[in-house]
Amino acid sequence: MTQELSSLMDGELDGPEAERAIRGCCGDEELKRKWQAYHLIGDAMRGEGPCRRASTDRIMAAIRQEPTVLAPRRPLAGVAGRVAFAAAASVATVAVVGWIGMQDRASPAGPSIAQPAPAETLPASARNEEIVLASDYVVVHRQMPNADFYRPVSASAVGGR
Amino acid sequence: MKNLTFIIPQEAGKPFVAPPSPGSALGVASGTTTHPIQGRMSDREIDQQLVERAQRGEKRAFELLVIKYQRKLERLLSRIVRDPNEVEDVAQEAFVKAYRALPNFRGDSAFYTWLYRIGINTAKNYLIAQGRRAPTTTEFDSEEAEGFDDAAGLRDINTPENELMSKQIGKTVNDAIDALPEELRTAITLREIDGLSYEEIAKVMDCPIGTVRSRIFRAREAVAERLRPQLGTTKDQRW
Repeated sequence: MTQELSSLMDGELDGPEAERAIRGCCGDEELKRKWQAYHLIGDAMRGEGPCRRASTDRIMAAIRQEPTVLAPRRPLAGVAGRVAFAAAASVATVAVVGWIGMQDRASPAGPSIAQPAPAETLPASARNEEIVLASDYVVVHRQMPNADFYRPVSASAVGGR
Repeated sequence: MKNLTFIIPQEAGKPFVAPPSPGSALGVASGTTTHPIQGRMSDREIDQQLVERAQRGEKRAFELLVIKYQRKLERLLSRIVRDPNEVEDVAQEAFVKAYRALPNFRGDSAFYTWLYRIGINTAKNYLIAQGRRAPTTTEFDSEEAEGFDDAAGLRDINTPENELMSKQIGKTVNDAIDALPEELRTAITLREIDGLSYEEIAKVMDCPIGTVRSRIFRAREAVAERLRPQLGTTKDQRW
């Protein structure tokens, strides 16, 4: 475990290994001493003077006298939380869309689209007269020219060469 | 082993002088920065793990953070509060305040940035309570805590006794480093002085990463063994 502790300090452990090393260090007095010694060695190599042992002991004693902190856990924190939230949102969306689809299919009256009011019936002669009038109107007012109007452009362009 | 056949013995009490290492050639900044590789737990993530454990009631996790940051915090505070004994008192108060405030720490910033901010505020309040002038905000911006490792010219807590103890510890460490086999000495120097990752050290030393891991560990163990008499339980002994 001490080698894992050494690697942990250097940021060279994977997540689960690191968690194991941290757990070990928190629960083992000997590993805590190693943690102290390894940090001291690094500091000394970089020319940074150590702290007084008595001062460290005093801080530890003061912390031990404090009421134990128990912070409420934050739900959905971090990447795992965001992934879980996204997954839940996706499932909810699919469920809602599926439910709406099922409702439409299950409805005996079919889709609830507004139906046009039934047209009033007219005598057959009146209807034919209206159709003819409408046809004339369309012919007079149509925006598109008839087929004779079109010139064979491609043919004349080829012939002009 | 390439280009690394020399380690300069260091004077006691002075910083360990690293050989001109390939770290600079690699463009790697010196210091203790970690190099996050996919899946590796970074320094900040390790702190976060410790904080979360402390938030769940594990005081020992917070003690590990105290061990890790006490010296750095005291060096920072010594820029505001000049008296070494007062620095220790303010540091203790800052750690206790940080422990009490743990439920409010959400990990938006690094733990040490948060801790240093508490430390600076504690020091300012301490000076005000003493009727002394506290530095202004512009004189002391906690943001500089981010680059604190590299800050040059910081005042150490220099009582004669402190200096003597620092020198003794420094001499023991440096003697122990000098006595190491070359491959162990090189590995730990590249790590602690040049801040190279294991992968980079493996390339420099032309060996597998597992070998680097083992060499650094063995080097630390050997030095720790030499330090053991000085890490006794006498009240005023230093770490």
